Amino acid sequence: MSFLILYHSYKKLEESKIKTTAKQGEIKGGEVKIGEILIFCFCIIAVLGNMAMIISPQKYLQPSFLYSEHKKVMVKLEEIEKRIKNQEGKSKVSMLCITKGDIFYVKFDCDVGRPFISSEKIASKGMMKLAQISDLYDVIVVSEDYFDFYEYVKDKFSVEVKTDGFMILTKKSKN
Amino acid sequence: MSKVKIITLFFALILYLVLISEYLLIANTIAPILFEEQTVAKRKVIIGIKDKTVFFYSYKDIPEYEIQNGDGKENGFQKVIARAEKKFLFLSIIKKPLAPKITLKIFDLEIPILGWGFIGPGPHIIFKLYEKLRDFFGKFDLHLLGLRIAGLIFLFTSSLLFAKYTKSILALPFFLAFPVNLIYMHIESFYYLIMTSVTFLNYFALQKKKFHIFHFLSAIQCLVHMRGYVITLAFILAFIISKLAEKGERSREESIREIKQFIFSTVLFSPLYILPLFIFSLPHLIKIQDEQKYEQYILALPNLSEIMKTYILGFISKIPFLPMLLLSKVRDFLMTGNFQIFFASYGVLIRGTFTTLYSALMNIFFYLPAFLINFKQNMPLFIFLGVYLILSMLAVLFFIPVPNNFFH
Repeated sequence: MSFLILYHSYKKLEESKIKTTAKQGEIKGGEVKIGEILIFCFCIIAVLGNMAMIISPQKYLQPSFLYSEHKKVMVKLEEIEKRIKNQEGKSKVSMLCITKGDIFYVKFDCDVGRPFISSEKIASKGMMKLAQISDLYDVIVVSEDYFDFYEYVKDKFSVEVKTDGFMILTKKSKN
Repeated sequence: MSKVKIITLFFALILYLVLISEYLLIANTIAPILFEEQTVAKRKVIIGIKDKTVFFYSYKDIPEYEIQNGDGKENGFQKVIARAEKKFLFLSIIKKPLAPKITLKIFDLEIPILGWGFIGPGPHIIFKLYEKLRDFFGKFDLHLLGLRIAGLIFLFTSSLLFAKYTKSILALPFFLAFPVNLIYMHIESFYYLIMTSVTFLNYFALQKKKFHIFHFLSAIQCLVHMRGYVITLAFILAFIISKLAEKGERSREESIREIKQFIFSTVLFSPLYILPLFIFSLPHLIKIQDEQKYEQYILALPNLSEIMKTYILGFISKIPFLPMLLLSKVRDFLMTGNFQIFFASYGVLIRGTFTTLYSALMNIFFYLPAFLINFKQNMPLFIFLGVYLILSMLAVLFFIPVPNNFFH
C-alpha cells in the first residue's frame, strides 16, 4: 500500500502552491510552488539521514552486524584453519557457526547452528543440544547474541579470539 | 525548458546520484542478516538432533557424503540431509522441511516450486542472479556488495515505475528515501517489491477499467504469496462498493454495466486464481517414498482435519486480541519505513533515537496530512484501504504457527 499512499502524498505536495498577490509597487503577483521546495527538503533529510549511517554505522548497529567485524573474523579463521591443518594433519577443518550473520560460509565450510536456537524460548534447550554435538567440530564461531554458548562447551573448547561482535572457540588439545 | 525546470532537474539528478552512492556504501557496510543468504548458499543448516543423528536442511541438493566431516561418522554421530524424493524417469520431486519445500529436479537442474513467501521459477532465476553477482564481486573481495547489487537494481527500477506515474524526476529521490530498508533483505525485498508494484499497477488498471490486466496481475500476486488473495479481494469489493456509491455524474445503469463487465472478467480469470491454491496445497497432496524416514522430525504435515481444528481454535483464541491488532496496524502505518522497528523485529538493536524520531516525524507531519487532505478525491482509495484493513485483520485470525517439532 505504501506506493499508493506515497503517490497520493507526493501528488498533493506537488500541487501545493502559495498564491501571492501584487502589492503596491510590485509589477505582478504569482505563485510559489511550496510543494517542490518541501519535496527537496525531504529528499535532503533522507540524504543526510543516510549519511549519518555511513559515517558512523557502529553508532546504529550492533558490532556483529558490521561487515568490517565479519571480515576481521574471517581473516582470523583463515589463520586458525591453516594452523589446525598443519598441526593435526587434517584435510578438512570442521566448523560450526552460531551467528546471526551468514557470510562465513562463502569462505568456509561451516555448519549453521543459528536456526536451532533462534528464539529465546528454545535457546537454552537448543544450546544444550548443540553442545552435545560439539565434538564433531574443531572450531566454533559464536556471535555476541549467543556468547552464553561458551558456558556449555568450556570444558572442551577455549576462547581463541574475542571481539565485540564475535568469539572464536577452538577445541582444547587432549594433552 | 524554463530555467527553473533545468535547475530543478539538475538538483534532482544530484540528489538521485548521492542517494545511489549512499545506498551502495550502506549495502557494503551492514553484514547479511538472518535469512538474507539462505537461498543463495550451499549451506548446511542444523534443524534437528535426535539420538545420534544430526538433521540438516540444505537449499541446494548436497550429496550426503559431502556433509560428513573428514572421517565420516564421528563419535557415533551421523549427519543426514532431511529430504524426501520421488523419481519419475529423469524428473524427481524433492520435499524439504524449509523453503523451498517442494523442488522439481530435471537432471541436475533444480527448480523450486513452493517456498514460504516466494514461489516458482521466477524467484529461482533471481536467486541465481544474486549468487552470480556475489561470486563475481567476490573476486574483488566485495561479496556483500555483489549480493546486494541485484536488490539495489530492483529497488531503483521500482522507483522508476513510481516516477513514471507521478511524471516527475523529483519523485525518484523522494520515493527512494523510504523503502531503503528493502536493500538488506533480498528475499523479502523481492517479494515485497512484487506485491507493492502489482498493487500499485492494479490500482491504476482499475481506475482505467482495464479489468483483464487487473486480474492477470492479481493472479501473479496470488502466485507470489497467499496475501495476494486478500489484496485482490479487497480490490474487488472496493471497486464494487465505490461503483454502487457513485452519485451524480454517471447514471446507475452505467455503474451496474461496469460492475457486470468486471464480474465477467473475474469469472474468466478464475482458473488463474485457482492455480496458486493448487500449488500451495502440493506439500499436503504429494506423498513421497522416503518421507517416513524423516517425517517424525520435520516433514510431517498436518492432515486436513487437523488443519481445520487448528484454524477454528486459532480463530476463536485470537478474537479477544482484535482491538490490539487494530492499534498495531495504526502503529505500523505511523512507523512505516522505521529503521529501528524494522531491525528490531529481526533481533537487531539499533542504538540512538534519531531513526525513530526521523521516521515518526516524517509520517505524522508529512505522509498523513498530505494523504488525508484530498479525502474526497481519494475516496476509492480510502474504500480500498478500509476494506483491506478489515480483510487483513480477518486473515490474521487464520494464520497458524509453523509446527516446530525439531526438539523431540
